[in-house]
Amino acid sequence: MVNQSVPAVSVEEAFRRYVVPEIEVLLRVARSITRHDQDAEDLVQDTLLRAFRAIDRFDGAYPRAWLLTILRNTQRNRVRRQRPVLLADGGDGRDELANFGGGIEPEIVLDEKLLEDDLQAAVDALPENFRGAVELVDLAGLTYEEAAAVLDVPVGTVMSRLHRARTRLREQLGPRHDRRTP
Amino acid sequence: MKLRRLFGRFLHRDRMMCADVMRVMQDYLDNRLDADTARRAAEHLEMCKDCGLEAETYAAIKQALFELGAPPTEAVDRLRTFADALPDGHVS
Repeated sequence: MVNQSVPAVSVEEAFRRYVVPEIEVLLRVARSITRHDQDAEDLVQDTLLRAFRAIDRFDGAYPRAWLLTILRNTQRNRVRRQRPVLLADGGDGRDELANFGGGIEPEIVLDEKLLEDDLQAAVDALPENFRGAVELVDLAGLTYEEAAAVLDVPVGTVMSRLHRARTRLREQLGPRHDRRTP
Repeated sequence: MKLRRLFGRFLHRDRMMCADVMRVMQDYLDNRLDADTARRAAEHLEMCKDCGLEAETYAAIKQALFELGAPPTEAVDRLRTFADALPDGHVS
């Protein structure tokens, strides 16, 4: 297999250069989408496999966006396989992609345990659309543009949902954590 | 007195007010402002205690959210091992 788009780089080198550094971000996003640790790991594994098979056609530009597209398509296929009955009703997996709701079990150690518990509860309490934006941008570390591509919505929508979500989080956490509060 | 106020306004016409900073706060935290607006916002946050604390609170929440999203290290390691094996054909 020869990399035609980036001739100076071998397929192996291209994979190591463009894909491997994105593994943690892919897993962050997958956990947000699946809300299940094992499913998220399986999803990223499938994504890596597909990326490896397609790396010879990748031009080297915006690897994260390219990988997120693969991850999103992979998840849609997985949902299709798992939920044939729903698809008969016209579903295409988008609902599942946008279905950011409880169940995530982060194994995290934060300095401020109180803030961590409060924060998780506050995130879980957000409306689904807001939660999706927060999880992709703030928890997964995506840009607005990348999050918009994953959610299949305009960037302005991500921005609006994110800003409103943060304001809600700030309001919820504010009374206890606001340094101006006596 | 009026002249001094007018002169002060002219001198500080570049300055942002609290409401201006609140409008761009999220974009400021996400580094999405142009250089000039970011500089003016930073100047305001530096001199205005309330807005500065507000920005710090938002930044602390943003940082805590990123830490909250951290996946288990073992899972990342397993996926790196999987990825490393792909070019060698150990995984099909």
